[in-house]
Amino acid sequence: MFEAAVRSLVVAVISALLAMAGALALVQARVAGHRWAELAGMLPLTASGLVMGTGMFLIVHPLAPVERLALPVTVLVNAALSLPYLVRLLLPQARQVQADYGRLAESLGLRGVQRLRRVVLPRLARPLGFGTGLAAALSMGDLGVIALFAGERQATLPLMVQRLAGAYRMEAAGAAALLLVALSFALFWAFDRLGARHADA
Amino acid sequence: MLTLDNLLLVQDDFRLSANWSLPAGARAAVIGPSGAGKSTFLMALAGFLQPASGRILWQGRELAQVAPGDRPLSILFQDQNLFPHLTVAQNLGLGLRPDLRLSPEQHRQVASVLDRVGLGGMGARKPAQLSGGQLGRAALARVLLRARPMLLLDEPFAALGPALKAEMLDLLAEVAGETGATVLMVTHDPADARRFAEMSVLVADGVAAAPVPTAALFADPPPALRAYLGS
Repeated sequence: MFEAAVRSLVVAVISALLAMAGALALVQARVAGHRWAELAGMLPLTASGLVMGTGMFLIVHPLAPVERLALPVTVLVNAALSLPYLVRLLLPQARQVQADYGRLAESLGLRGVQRLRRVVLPRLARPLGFGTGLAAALSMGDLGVIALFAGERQATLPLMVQRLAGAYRMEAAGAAALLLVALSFALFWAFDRLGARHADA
Repeated sequence: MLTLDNLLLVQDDFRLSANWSLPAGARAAVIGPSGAGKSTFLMALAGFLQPASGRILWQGRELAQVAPGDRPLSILFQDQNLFPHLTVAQNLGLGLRPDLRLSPEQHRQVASVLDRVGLGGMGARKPAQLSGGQLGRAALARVLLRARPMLLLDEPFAALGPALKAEMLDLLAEVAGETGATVLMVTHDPADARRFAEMSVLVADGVAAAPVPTAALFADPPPALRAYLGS
């Protein structure tokens, strides 16, 4: 159970960070006037995690064994599924930052990475923390693509709960479920706090 | 010299033209009724609005392809002149280096201009910990640091009371004198124009008129200005 918990945490953290990085890039592109970016952020809503995972599996399975791909594919699909929510969360606030400080930043020559570091990230710290926590919690509880491809050694906590319950080991399943809920809340809380701590003005 | 060569600005139904020059080191108030396009005019000079036609030149160099941050000017907006999450010293440091990797000499420069504008020892404060007048001083301190040859002001002191505004205009005059900057200041208030600017640009009826002496303009105001002043 410990290994499954660690696996779930690693998958959740990586997919949440990936989702947030992708959402931030799309939101910045939208604020810069690229309409396609908002549409691209909404596209994952058109397919379920299972459909996306299956498609991704069909694309990459000639390149590597299925079991080795289970966790990376899970990370990618979970990140993609969180994108629409994160884009919706960040976009209004990113627009406000641009309206309030875009011209000031431009007049001082703040561009690219420096603008991201000195203006965008600090001003969006709170929604970034909240959104990353949300994406991590969503990924922790995912029982989609992982159920299709994971072998015995790739089980995450939700999959372990399912397998234990399927084997009528209800007490063990209950303990794993409790651990899953606690870790999901803890991850959400940690990211949310991190964002709030950096949003000090 | 700032030269506006058959400049035409277009925004939806709005059009504004200008065709004149302003000598280097001059101070001009940009005055006119609300909605006449004073701020739009300034934003075009700053590079936030591309002209529909015509050219903006500084010392003979066309600015059309120059990004706002690379233009030979500093600008103060009506508000939001400082980033609230950065300290006052960091806000000033951005005027020297956008990556804020300041040398010891540049740190000394920041401390020195803070002293110069009466904010000595306040570099570690956040903007929220400053009063309205202190915010204006901090913004002017960054203008001093950047020492660009042109300064555009879009009513940055409009929200201040009369005494504080007069104080800020005097400080502004000192800053402009020290940097030798050419200043264009948008204002609604004829008293500000008289106090600070020897020249005035009247923006009305789709035209930013050529600069004329402020005293002469108010002594014999054209119809558009007379209507605006209500006299």
